[in-house]
Amino acid sequence: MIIVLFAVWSLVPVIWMLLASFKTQKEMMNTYELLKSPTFAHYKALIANGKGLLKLLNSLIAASASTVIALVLGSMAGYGLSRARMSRALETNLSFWILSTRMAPVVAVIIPLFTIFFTLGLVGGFTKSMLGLIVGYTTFDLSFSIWMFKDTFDNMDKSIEEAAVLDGCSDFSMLWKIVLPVARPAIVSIGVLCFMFSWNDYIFASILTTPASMTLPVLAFSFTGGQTGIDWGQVMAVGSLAAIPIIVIGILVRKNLVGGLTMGSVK
Amino acid sequence: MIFPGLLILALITLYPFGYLLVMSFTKVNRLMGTPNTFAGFSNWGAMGSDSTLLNSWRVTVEYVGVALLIEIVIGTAIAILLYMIPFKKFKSVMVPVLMFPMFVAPVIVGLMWNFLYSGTYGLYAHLLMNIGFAKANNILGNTSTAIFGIIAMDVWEWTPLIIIIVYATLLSMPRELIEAAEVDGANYFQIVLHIFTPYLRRGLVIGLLIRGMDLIRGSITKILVTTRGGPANTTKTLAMKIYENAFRFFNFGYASVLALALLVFTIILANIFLRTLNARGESL
Repeated sequence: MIIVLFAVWSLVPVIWMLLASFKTQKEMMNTYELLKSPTFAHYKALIANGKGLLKLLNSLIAASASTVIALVLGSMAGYGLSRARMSRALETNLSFWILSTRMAPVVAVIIPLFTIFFTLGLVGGFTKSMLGLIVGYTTFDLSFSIWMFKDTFDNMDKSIEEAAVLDGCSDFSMLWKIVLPVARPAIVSIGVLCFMFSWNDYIFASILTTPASMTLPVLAFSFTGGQTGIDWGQVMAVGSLAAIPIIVIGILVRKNLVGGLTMGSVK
Repeated sequence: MIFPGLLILALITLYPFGYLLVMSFTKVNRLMGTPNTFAGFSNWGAMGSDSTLLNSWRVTVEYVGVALLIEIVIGTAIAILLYMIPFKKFKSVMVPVLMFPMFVAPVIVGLMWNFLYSGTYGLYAHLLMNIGFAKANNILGNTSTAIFGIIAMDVWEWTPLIIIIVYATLLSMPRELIEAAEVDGANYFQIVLHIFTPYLRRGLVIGLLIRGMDLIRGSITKILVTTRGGPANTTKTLAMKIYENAFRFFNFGYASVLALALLVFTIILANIFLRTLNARGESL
């Protein structure tokens, strides 16, 4: 019973947002009205000026690029770290650095990053600001990915690898042909989470992007600053567009996400 | 193998961190691009004369502390209930529903709840007003309720993480251990005390540390898109204050000093977290 109540509390805000995105302005004024005559006006407006779809594309590009970078570099570094023989002190220091990078307050990362990008001329212009955004996302995606891959490989059975070494298998082909295929569930969960972290970001995007390279979260917020007040229809439509796909993906692979969401501390 | 990843990570994290340190001793000119001048300890000294700094620390502690407390209590209770319920089908339907708020972007959470709080047509505002809370017509605009309005958003989004952590910890409890204890004549109370509690404690410590770090890390987005720190600074967390100093007043030097101070807290928590992980084998 209490669990059902809690589920309702979880569901209501998202359902309400989804319903609102199909409501006319007049319907929204009647607080308790569910949905009588659904309208697609808010979504049409997003498609009509091409704006919404382009921002969706921006979000996709930035999140995918940083995810790919994090997966490639992270799996290599994670594997290397997991198999390297190093002193306990060095290992602790490395883990500490990687973890505090992942958990560093967003503002403490964005301030120097913005200043550095500004000096380098990476603020402004579509390509440049997109590049800056991807670098920004890589700060937390890569540290997360290295951490999780190391944890995955630490807990993996090493007997196949030992056999492969005897057959003269190199480090690279070992990772590529033997280790990674076995680690497929981990790759999926690390990839999905990296994508989610970047897709859901607002702070980095709000500071680093231009109107052309703006992502969905920034677009959603931009409708709250109009001179005629908040355009809730548009906000809710963009919000649904940003939230629903990632919720669906998250629920589909939920079993794999628990380890990642707890930085590997819960298996 | 290791080097490309670590090199790039160092370049995009250690270098900016060094940069942040340097900036804290620099007077960054308002007009970006013009040369900056060495400022000695003046940015650091500015903390002493900042009359709203203490308030921001207080708000941060209140926000992180209250949100943590509520999330831990409700999350643990729901997880234990979920663990004890015998209906498998019900569980498999409930778990995704209980989990999904975590996947929603903080900015969307902020906007969504802002809509629910709206005095003119917000669902939650009206429900609260109907049961007698007259103040609910302006939750985020009222000095006594704004911070709790923000905390409710975080509780909505992240209590699921505590549920999942505690639930997974309970599931990892070996059945044989409980059965063996029963065979040995342990009573219900002893089982709870000696088997249940140690497992639960580990889950709680992990949940506290991860949520603690993440709350400090993200104590800005929901506030930035709703109250912007107001009314009367009652929701101005340190992170919000840092953002404002940097990107509204362009006082990057002072913002860097405050950012370093906030970073220290994350570093302390990260340290404890690592020790907890390393002690895995010994405590259980």
